[in-house]
Amino acid sequence: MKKIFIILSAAILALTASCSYFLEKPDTTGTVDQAAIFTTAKNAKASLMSCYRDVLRHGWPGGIGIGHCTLGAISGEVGRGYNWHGSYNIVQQGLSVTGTDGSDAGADNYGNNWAFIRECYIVYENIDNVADLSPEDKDKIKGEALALIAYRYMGMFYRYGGVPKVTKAFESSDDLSAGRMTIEEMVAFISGLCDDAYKLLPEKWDAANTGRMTKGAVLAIKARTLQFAARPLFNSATPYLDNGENNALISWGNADKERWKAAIDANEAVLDWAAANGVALVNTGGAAVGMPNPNAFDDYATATSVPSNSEIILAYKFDDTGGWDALVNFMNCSNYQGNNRYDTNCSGVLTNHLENYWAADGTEMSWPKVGDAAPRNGSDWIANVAKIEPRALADIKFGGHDSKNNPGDYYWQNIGWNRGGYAADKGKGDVFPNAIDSDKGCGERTKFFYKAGSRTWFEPPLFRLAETYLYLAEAYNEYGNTDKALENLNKVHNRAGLPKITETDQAKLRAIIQRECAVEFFQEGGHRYYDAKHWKLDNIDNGICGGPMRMLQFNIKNDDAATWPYAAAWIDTYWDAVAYNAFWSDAMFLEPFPQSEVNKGTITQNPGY
Amino acid sequence: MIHSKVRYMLAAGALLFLALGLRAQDYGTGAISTASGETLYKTENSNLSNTFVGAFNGMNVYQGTGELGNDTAKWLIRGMGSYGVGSWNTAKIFVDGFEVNAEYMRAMTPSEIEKVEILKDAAALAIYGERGANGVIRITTRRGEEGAPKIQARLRFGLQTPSSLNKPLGAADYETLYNQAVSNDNGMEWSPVYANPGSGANVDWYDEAMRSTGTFSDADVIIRGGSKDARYNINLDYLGNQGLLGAKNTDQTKNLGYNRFNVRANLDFNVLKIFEVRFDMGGRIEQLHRPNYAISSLFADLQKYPSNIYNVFDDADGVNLSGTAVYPNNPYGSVNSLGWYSYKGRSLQTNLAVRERLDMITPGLYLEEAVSLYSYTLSTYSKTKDYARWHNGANTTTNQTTTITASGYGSGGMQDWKQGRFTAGYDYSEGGHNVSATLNFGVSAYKGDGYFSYKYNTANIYGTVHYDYAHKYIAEFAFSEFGNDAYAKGHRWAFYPTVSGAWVLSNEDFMKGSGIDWLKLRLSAGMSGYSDSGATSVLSNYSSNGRYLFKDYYTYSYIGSFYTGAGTPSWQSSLVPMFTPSDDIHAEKSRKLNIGVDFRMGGLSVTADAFLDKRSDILTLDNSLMGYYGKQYVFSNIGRMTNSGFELEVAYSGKAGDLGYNVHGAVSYAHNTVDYMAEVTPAHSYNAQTGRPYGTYIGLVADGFYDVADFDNSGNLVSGLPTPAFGSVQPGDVKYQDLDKNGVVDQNDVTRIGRSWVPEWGFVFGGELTYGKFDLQCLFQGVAGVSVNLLSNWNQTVAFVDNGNAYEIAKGAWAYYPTQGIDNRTNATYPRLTTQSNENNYRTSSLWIKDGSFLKLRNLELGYTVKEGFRCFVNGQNLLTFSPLLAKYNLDPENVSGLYPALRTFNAGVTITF
Repeated sequence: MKKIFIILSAAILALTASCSYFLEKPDTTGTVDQAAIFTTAKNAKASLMSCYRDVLRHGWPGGIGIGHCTLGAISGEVGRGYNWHGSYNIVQQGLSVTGTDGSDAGADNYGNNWAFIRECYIVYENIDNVADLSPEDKDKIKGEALALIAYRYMGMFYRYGGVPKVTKAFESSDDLSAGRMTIEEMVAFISGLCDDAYKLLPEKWDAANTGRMTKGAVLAIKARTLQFAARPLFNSATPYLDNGENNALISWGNADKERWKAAIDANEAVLDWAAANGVALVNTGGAAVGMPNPNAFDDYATATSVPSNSEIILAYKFDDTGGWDALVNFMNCSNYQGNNRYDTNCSGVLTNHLENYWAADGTEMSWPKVGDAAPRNGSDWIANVAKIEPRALADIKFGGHDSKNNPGDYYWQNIGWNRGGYAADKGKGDVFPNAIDSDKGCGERTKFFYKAGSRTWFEPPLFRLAETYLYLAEAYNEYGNTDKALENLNKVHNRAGLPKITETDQAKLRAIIQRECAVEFFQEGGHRYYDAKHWKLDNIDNGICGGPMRMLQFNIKNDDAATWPYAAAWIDTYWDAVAYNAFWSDAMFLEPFPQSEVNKGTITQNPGY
Repeated sequence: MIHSKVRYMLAAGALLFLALGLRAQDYGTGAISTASGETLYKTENSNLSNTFVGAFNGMNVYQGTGELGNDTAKWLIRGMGSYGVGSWNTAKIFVDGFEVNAEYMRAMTPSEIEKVEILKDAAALAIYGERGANGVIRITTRRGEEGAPKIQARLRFGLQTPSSLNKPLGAADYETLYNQAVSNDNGMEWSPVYANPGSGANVDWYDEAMRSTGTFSDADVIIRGGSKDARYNINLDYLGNQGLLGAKNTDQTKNLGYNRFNVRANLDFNVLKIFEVRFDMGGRIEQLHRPNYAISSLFADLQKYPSNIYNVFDDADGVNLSGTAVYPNNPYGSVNSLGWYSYKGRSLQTNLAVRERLDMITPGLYLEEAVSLYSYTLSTYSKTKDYARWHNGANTTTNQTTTITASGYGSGGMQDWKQGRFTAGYDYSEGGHNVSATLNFGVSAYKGDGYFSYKYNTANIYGTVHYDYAHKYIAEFAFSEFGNDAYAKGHRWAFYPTVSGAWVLSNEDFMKGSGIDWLKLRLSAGMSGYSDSGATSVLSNYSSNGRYLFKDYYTYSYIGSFYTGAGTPSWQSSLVPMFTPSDDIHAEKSRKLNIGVDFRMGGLSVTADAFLDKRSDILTLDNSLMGYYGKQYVFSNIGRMTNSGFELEVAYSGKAGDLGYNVHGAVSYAHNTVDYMAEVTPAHSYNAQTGRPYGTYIGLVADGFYDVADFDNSGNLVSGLPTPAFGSVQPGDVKYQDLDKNGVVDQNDVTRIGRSWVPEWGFVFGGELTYGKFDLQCLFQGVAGVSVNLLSNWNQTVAFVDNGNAYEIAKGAWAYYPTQGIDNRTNATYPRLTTQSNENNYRTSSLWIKDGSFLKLRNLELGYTVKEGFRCFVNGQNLLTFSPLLAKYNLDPENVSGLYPALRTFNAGVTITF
């Protein structure tokens, strides 16, 4: 009996011992852990690159919380999309605290901001563990991590106002009860991050590393932050809606002109860096200062489309050709993007935006109006398209016309645009003055795809020098320096081939600068969506973010020879019609926080939600 | 893991000490519900799990859809003890002592089964360690018996029809209501789209895509017998089941159909006096075919495609199938014109056990070694074609009519499972002392498909000591020291002990002469664990079933890449962390307490149990951390739940003259409460899921519909009414209670608006009559204390939105067009119709939560025994359903999604034994 006991015990012990190997190793095929990441430069760089990939997409398709749409679909640029698109819901019902179509609230994914910032801090905190990197390289990577954190904070600043201050990759045991920073603290924190990053970053990277953060990029982050800090939404004595004791989270609490001075200084610093590093507006026409650029179309198209052109301070280099990415699916309307045509199908250009363009000679265009007694003739449409400024031709494939961006390329021509591309139908003259179609508008977007041909990806420009000039124009105008305002404005305006602006009345010039921004930055991230809100535009509820959204309607001649997709020559009549009305409430000046986050009791919701 | 080894040594020592001088007896202490293979055979279904319905007290079973190949029932043993997985079918399944998965079990045939036991309490589950906390389904297959060969052959044939179908409105009704919807969207100005409702196409798509009856046939042969030293039970079974789709089985088209061949041979040998050898082989081939269009998509189309969209064919000759851009998948075409798809599944479980009787060393001592090998492969094969879609004489999509081609041969999954067990056992009996003890070491290595959860290695050292004194006093100690590869060192092994006892009062002297045949009290208390978890399903890139969370993993795959470079940009790989790791993650723990009584007196038998299950350490996504922690992917074992209830089973059998009868009834109740789940802190306590049964419907309280008088002239809500935060409202929209009285109706106003989707009550009752050669049986089964959300069947509830359809329910819509003579304001049961998405009306609220209780006549059978060994029968299944949901909304409470219908079956069959 004793023997058996001993034998059994020995056998079981032996089995248990071998079991510890049997149970030892998690078999998670090809998966590496954090320690493995921060031992080699290659893996560490890979983790840094994912920070770029995640952080810099803010505001572009695939990087906003919403699964479908561009922010232009909720700020009067393009149609609202299909009814399963988040933009459609926001147009119908406004921003909600529970989110829509993938966002956790409003038009952003609040949680993602923090996930990405945490990734950056992990890189920042662990990069010193890497063996095969020089101290200089480690410093640069730390600078990049800080710059990326600053970029994301900048984005949150104009989305939410003040948000909590995070200075490290938290442990779950850390005290997490910090509330939101005030506007003042936000500006100081972002500026501080920028200053720290500035010290660590190179002026410029070599060609192979172009696309990574530079001193110039962090100057631009700081400049944009200070620009929004000076704009009336924050820079006022009272916030857009009273927030009681929490007013400081969404407003400075006073209107101070000197904030425009701070913006001017920051933007001038960008210009200085640009001048020293060969970054300049694309303007090849050789016209004298203040004169229209004869190469306007190619220059503007180059500046917005060609990767690594001279005007780019920072671009988002997500160049996947796979075509399944949201950036491709929601931005490339040509027939080359064959993966998901639903994503752009109902995002035609609105008349609301079309009216911002000038005629090529600097005069006003004449478009049909809602309420016109009769529709206009099709020949008027052709004449108008012939007359419009070059930027419009680079931005839009006008109904019945070929895209000017890719001349000679079948899939960019009207004939190869197999879903038509504009709100046109045959024999629908009696529909006037109503809408034949409320999805397609006057045409579809072609911006960013100048001479792209079959390349479906593009590099979203995050900071173009044109922004710096227009920020300076705005800031100087607000600060009372009209000459400098006009000088900076006309850099961009002349480059677009337009005669110089000479308006000196502050209010009128302000409107012109705002219009210039609306045109120059059409579809560029959330420019229009956030600019319009921070300018506190009076008519924001009446045709910008809310109110009637209009689309031109085209009645095609009832002729058997007119075949799909209809060329412009077959347009019988056209008119403007309200396609739908968009929802607006003043709460929407800032984004809501997710209800689930507010319920945790540490941060307070923005007013009105 | 020194300390666990010490624990084990102590336990082993104690066992062996107790084993001295004691002997075996089978007086059990656990709560177990049992049904024989014969009982399960009475429910005619190609999926074994569906035969469980009504067979076990304490296990509620939902049969659900009758879609062949996708018809595994949903079951829960003693309700929902843990939200860790938080869904159905979390009980682990063991066949002849080795674990199998539901895929294996569902294709077993009742004829190869001796009995199925549902293990419910700590005593019954003691040896299962981290597999046991949610109950265990233990299946024992038939073994040979000493005696002359016995052959049993059975044959049955049945017809199957839908037990209910919720068909949409016809074109006239659809169009009438559509006119209302469009007018509602147009500022309540009457603006009809259809001037003459019902004048166009009117197609019953269900009729076009389906046939009225499917068929079922099953034939099996059982051969059993053997000598003292060699016994056998051999089983052959063929089952064929044809579904309800309209397509014929031809070269070009296939109906939904399922065929299965099962073979099982269970052999027992005695060799050289000391060896007992058991060799079991259970194998089968399953074949499924269907039209080359997913059944779920087909039925979603049937639900969504209105009757009036087009006729089946666009031309008079019946050649060009209709289809439009909005409704591209003509259901008739989906069934008949896309070719077909099929799969074949093959599986084999082989078990070998050798037991050595070591009586020559110490009487009663034995050793046993057992291995089990299981493999499963699934291969798919399809033949495809396409058809052009026509409307009004023109092609509407880019699809072209193509000829059928063979395509798509591939693997649909593979699994293998290797298990081994080593047992030392000791049975002893002397002078009223009976002891049975075992000490076991089991290992299990499973490999399946999946990214991060394809490999499961576990080890289990377990033992039992069962002591019985004079068949009166019974005590049992059992334990499991369970090792799991899911966790970090330090939590890899966990110890689960159980003690239990029973007192057989009817064997006491003082009970003699009381007339009570059997009275036993049972008591058990112990621990059990569970290691699967649904918590990681929030990690779209790391759904690991709760495993390996101690590693700070990075991934390439999910987030894409980034580029740098001024010229041709170069791709840079990118790596991101997936979650915050923790070494402390371990299996969830269950502490179970059970008290039971078994009673028999004459024809009356009663079994009653009451239980308490305290669950702790449930793996939970910690939502309590602030977002700026860096997104909440932090997991910890912080969840707690309490589950308690009872089961009562009563049966009586008797005879009155030639009439034999037995009646039986059972009721079960299980009520759980979520004690802590790190829920996102709600604004008000009444918003919370915590403190309520898991799965309780939380939502807004609907308070009728807005009336015309609730709005001022410009269409704004009159002051005093709370503003809903879900977009603008108009008359006829759902009005909600503003529970926090802050003037805004939002997510802070949600509260409990119904029960959980997990039923609390289960009922079974039935009876059997025998008279001469006739026998008649019936079985009713039902559940209560359960709610369903109509919006979970979105397509059949939400009218018109997203080009949707309309059903009877939409006729109750609020409507007010006095000039048209339409006024359904006072009797409205449904919000005003709309063709647009409407966040206000179609959100979870008390308007949509309905009572999900039901009582079904599951089985009614009439048999006639022609002569000994020759019986024929007819029976019907799911013949009657009593359910408020079915009565009011024409939805089957077991199959609320309303896709492929649940089935009603009529059979006839014969059994011959010789």
